[in-house]
Amino acid sequence: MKRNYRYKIADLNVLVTHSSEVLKRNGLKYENDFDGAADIEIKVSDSRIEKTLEINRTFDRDYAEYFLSGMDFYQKLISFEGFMLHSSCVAVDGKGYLFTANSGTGKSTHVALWKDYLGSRATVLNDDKPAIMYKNGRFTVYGTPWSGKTDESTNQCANVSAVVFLERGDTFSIERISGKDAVERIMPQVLHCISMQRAEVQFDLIDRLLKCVPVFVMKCTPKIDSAKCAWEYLNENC
Amino acid sequence: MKINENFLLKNIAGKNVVVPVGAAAKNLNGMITLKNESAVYLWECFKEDTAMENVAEKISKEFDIEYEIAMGYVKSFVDKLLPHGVFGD
Repeated sequence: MKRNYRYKIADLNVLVTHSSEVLKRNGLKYENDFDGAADIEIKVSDSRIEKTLEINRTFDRDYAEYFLSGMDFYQKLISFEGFMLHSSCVAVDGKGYLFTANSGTGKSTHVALWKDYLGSRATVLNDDKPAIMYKNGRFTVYGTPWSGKTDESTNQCANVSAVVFLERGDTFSIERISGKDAVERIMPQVLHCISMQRAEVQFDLIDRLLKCVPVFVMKCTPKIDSAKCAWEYLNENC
Repeated sequence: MKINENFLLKNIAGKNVVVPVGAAAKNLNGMITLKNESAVYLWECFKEDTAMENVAEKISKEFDIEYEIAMGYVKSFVDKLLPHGVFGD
């Protein structure tokens, strides 16, 4: 039985009509009984859920609705000058660091090491799809209920201090790259837009992001030492 | 022939990239980089329905180069984008 849930996500009033236990659980910390109209309204049709279940045999109904509502959220977010970056985001002292790479490279593993190394100083805002908003000349990253397999997110935000392209390596290395060189790396990690209007806005935002936020390529092992090196370097240089 | 309206050319951080929007992603998984300004110019030429010969004629006159050389540029541009459905419907 679908019901209305009111959330505050990325400083926006979001109304989602759903019956997903997964979204209910992950959305709990975002629930906010706001007054008046929602900025974003989401309701995933049963036919879309059915279609997704046909394509993704590993999904169950709850997860399919959770997944699709997230996709809808990120498409609509573009109208509010925001976009999704497929990344794991950790915040320390108000500075947000986004580690991005293809699935399976080790983003979540690396960010988990930041928590091991820094303890409660480090907060995982979103382990899979943080929302990046452009407001007042700055990029701010937010947690959202849609955080992938590990369901890890925090209802907080931070300044986007760095975007780091993560690669597996035998030893630790990190180097800054130009925004221009980052384009090919970042494109696979953003949403595929369904409308031209939204695509124009999203890519303008990405253009701006790459011009004002430092980007790095980091190679590392899945050991705690990598988190120490990454943290020390980024804290000093960003 | 003309550029399918579901492809977007965007300059992102100094790089000219072609991205598919909506259904166009079926034919292009990712993006294509247009490596120089002349490719961007050719893109603009093909926004309207036109023939390769017309475009070659146009750039031959505008940039004072031989028609055959201009046609070479046009062919190479079209060959790069055609497999990805950029000129399709």
